[in-house]
Amino acid sequence: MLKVVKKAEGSFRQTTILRIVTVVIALFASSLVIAALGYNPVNVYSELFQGATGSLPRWQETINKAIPLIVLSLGISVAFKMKFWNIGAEGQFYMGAMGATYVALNFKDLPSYLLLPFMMFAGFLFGGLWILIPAILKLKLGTSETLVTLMLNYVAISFITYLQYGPWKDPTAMGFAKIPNFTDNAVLPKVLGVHIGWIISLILVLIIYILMKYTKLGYEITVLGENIQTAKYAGMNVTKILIIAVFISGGLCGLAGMLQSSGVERSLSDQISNSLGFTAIITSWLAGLSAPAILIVSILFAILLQGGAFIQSSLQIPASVAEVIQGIILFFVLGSEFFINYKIVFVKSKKEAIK
Amino acid sequence: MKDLTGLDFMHLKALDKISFTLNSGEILGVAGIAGSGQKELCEAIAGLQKIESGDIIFKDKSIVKLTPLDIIKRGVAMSFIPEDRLGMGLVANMDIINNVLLKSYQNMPGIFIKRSIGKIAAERIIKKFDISTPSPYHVVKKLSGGNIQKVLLGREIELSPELLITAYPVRGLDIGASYHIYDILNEQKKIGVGVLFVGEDLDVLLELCDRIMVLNSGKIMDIVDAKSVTKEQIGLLMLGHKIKDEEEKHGA
Repeated sequence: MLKVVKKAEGSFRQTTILRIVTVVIALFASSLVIAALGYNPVNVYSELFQGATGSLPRWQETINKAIPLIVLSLGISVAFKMKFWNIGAEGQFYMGAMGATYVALNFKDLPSYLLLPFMMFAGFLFGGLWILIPAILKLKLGTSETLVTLMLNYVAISFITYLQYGPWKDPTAMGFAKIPNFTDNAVLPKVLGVHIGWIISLILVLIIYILMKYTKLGYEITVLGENIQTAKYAGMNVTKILIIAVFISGGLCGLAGMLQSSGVERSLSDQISNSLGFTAIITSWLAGLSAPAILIVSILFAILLQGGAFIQSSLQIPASVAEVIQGIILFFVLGSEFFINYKIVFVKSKKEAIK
Repeated sequence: MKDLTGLDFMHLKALDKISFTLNSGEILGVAGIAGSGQKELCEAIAGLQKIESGDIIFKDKSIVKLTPLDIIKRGVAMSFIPEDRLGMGLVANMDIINNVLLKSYQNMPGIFIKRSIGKIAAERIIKKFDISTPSPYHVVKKLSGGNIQKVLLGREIELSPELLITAYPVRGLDIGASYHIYDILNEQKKIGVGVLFVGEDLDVLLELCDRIMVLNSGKIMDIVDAKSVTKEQIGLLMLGHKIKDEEEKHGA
């Protein structure tokens, strides 16, 4: 007989070791899948790694993919720390990109040193406002934020599609449904071959680290996530803290959308995220919601994404193989959460169990 | 010094027109069958319950309807030790320092939280109340029940309250730890603190308290002198019988 028993929580170190072991096992399990598909796993992994890090341009492409992941994961981590399950990063990303695009298309004459900060502000604001919908519904009506944030993703994406095919359609694109390209002053400048978003994301990692670790707000968010009764008992304004923290969370996801649309795509479409908002949930969780760890995990995941795209052309393997690896990693990580909190003990017989 | 009067409370009828006075340097016990309104009474004073009507006077000032934040910000010298240690009074997954900061961080200037202050306070509390812990960085949940309670009590007493509300402070503790808690409460009484002690062990109530207030269904049955009352009399009050009625019945 098997019996599931709750176990005492391990230390941060134990948990981290368990998570790393999990990823290693997940990679091993993925290699079985790769082998089953008829490829040599060692070959695939080395090619995947080469494709992401083998040369300077490849590195630049990897960092390009890491930037939105880092900013999205940071945003998610703030909400998750409070146990507000924001599954809506994807939607906030699109709404932020939309806000930035609106500014980019309507204030073309501003110099870029004014226009870019304005676009960032708009991205943050729209992402933040978008997440306020589930937050207020939760506060007023007690709805589940998990469901509402998730569903609002599809609303946001469909809204972008509508803009793309409707009011924002580029009249000069000869009937092709696309939103006009940004003018040069609305495109983020490059530093070392990668758009300046990488510096912004490093600064954000630092800011979120300080916010969560050394400020009163970070302390309040943590207490609120641990125990709402204690938060009330300690005189915290639960509503206010929730709204502020959630706004930061959605705002960062919106800012990620701005960085992507301005720095990489130079436009807006309903394809610019490609489920980065969901991948960021994995990275945020794998990183244990800690800002410095998010930086590392996001870069590792960007290597996986970029390498996955690379093996597609070099080994003629579908990019979905990389997605399979991602999925397996997530599966194992979620599974490991179970083993962090519970253990399985063997019970010999019913008689002994009663004893 | 302290007057807590006219607590009119109609919310869910958990408390019904409760009036009493708690003096400084006194331990007022609260007895009653579980669910007679003890928890609501404590939480009402601490600003955690909705109050329909009535007033709470603390040192000539009304503190009724103040939120816990107001109480901290206005420096009302009152501490509340809730029944549920880890569910309300402390954050189980945080270390002692962070738990000690829970009541004092609001008054720190600026946006940053100064953990150095919390560390000094935590070390002082650990020493003063003889808390056995490897370090102030130890997670509260991993301490024993008695030590957890001492962290909570220590934090609240560090704020030098003039009114101390404790709800079942020894629930789940062993005898040694319980006596340690009683000693701490007695010390507080000696330095002039008014203590409201909600308890369930009648022997302890009789021994520890000066007066005992007996609640039944949210109403005060009587406030009796702990020196002259017997356990049986309190028991009858808890069940809702007036002492006098019972005596008459026995006489008849």
